[in-house]
Amino acid sequence: MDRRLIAMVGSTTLALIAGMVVPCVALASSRTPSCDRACLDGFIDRYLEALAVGDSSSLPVTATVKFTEDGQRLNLGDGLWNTSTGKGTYKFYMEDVEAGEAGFFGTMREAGEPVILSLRLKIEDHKISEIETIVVRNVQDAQNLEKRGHPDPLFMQAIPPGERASRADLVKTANMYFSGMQLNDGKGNYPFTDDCDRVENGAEATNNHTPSTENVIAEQSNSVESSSRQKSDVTYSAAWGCKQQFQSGLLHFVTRIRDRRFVVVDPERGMALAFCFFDHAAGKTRTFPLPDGRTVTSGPTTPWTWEIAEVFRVEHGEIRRIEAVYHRCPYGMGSGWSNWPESMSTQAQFFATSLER
Amino acid sequence: MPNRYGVVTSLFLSMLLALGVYARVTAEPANEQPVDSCDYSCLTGFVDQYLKALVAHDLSQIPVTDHVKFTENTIALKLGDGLWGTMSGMGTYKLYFADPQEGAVGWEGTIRENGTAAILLLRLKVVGKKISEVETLVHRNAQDAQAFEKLGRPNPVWLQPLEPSEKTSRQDMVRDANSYFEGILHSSGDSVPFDPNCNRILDGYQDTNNPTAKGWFDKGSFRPDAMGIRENMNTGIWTYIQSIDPRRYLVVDEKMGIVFGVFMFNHPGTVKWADVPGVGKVPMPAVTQRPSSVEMGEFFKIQRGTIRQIEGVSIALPYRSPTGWEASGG
Repeated sequence: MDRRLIAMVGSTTLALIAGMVVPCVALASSRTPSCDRACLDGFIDRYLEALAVGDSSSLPVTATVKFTEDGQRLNLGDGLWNTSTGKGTYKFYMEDVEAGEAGFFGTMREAGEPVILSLRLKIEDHKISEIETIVVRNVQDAQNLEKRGHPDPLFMQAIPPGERASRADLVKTANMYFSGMQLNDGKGNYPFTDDCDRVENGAEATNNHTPSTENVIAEQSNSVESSSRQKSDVTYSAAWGCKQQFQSGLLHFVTRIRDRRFVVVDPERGMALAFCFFDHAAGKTRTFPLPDGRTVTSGPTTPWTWEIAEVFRVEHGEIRRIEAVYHRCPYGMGSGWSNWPESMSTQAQFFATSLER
Repeated sequence: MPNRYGVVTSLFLSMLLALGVYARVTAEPANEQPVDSCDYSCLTGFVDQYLKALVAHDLSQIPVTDHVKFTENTIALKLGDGLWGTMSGMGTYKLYFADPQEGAVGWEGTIRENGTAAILLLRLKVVGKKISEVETLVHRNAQDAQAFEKLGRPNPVWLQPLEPSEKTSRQDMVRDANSYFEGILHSSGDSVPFDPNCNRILDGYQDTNNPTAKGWFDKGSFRPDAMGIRENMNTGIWTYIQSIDPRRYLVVDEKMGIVFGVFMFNHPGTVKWADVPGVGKVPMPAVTQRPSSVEMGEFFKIQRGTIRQIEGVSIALPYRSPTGWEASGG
């Protein structure tokens, strides 16, 4: 991928490591964006049309196009291309004109059943050079997404020109979500708006007061045990808001969020889309102190990983909306797009324009 | 090939390659020569030492080479990660197999992980009395682990050393085991040298000659799991398995007549039904209608040139996952 490895500590750090990225700077600064927002969306549509009928032959691709599905490199035409039976109804387009990257969350049909597709295309000279996909093969999740009808309109609203964050600052804010969740202790700086909401595979993961969806994470995490109080006192809840969840300190069992690749950054819409992995080591980190001093044992009892695509709407340096597509994968799995050090790194990576370097 | 794939001689490998059998058999660089100083009991002793250290979460209890490689469910991890953080005890089912010629040893058994039963399949490579490779498959399904434990102990055929008259060459042992995979791909049980009493136990369940088992493909009186393994394979129900690649033969236990390997079953999701002789079209279950791969750690009892028994452990993986042990370093 044509991107920079940036330590998200701040602009000083950015400047300090500038020397590390010089060879890539020349490459990046020489390209001129040639595919605008509509053009990028058009490539997504063409891809979906071709995928729906299982025929990739009509796609304009480079000679060295690379395709991955669920972290595995496949020949274009394999995987979902073999089993897709049609398009679904949910469509969420994301564009990064500067980087020539298009993102998409949506639904498809596979063997007649709904599935969720997270898609990233890299466009170079009006050809597709990179295709990254996550296919969530869970009918209920896909149906939940379709029931929503459409993405939150906030994601599509333009940020007033004078209020737009730089690409680096957008990534910096969004990355604080990952850094705040990793080994979460409830004491960090969590830049959420008061009305922040998060949707995960079509389900409301915050401010959700439906009884059946309360404690979603707790249930997914196999068990929650308290050493000192009743479970209800220390059980993470989907009824809480974004900030309350992070301030609870109960997400400590997310031991590492790695290979954080911010693949779509859109200052006009205050949007940043990342692909990454949430590791749950399930060992000693299951027992941890809460901000109030109590000690709890919580989280997965076996090591496993979420493979995730997550998009953020950032306003005035705070996260207001989050939507994620994810599924479980083998513990420690790689994306197929990073080398080993990048894959294990917890630093944010993104395509920085020449103006920001 | 003086390495862990040395069980297949160059000539024999060439022959199999010509037949398209070992399409992706790979060989690690022979940086570390296996030594013959670790005999059968020495090798199984390394397994015991490893398991004890695993329960204690204490890496210092095992001798490892400087560049020891560790995978858990195909993913390369730092030794000490994964199951090393969660193992809480041993279970009751266990089976060893060892290959002193190659310094290779394997173990299948049940464990406890944070108190929950699971199945562990372990392979160690021992070089100069140090562990250089650790490959693990952790099947995290308590019900399956309990199914193994309900068996009480492994089938006695696994524990019975071969009589001299029952032994065949290492190459022939691998060839016979490999014919099983060809039989799956070609729906041809008749081409596989099955012993009439051969049965298969996968993830704790016997899926041949088992009249009470409920299988994916049951349709009226069509009960594949109740059939013998040859008849079961002849039905064609396994055609959703479009390739078994790579096939890595890792331990040839000449003493016990056991061939162990790790094999990747690939399912593109494109086969809609099986055309079963005498039955007609049997629809493939939904789970086979989407791309997936399953890695099997599987072992075969080879006795008098026949497959006497099969046992294995599976893990579900994203479609076309690598094994973590490709020649490139995975």
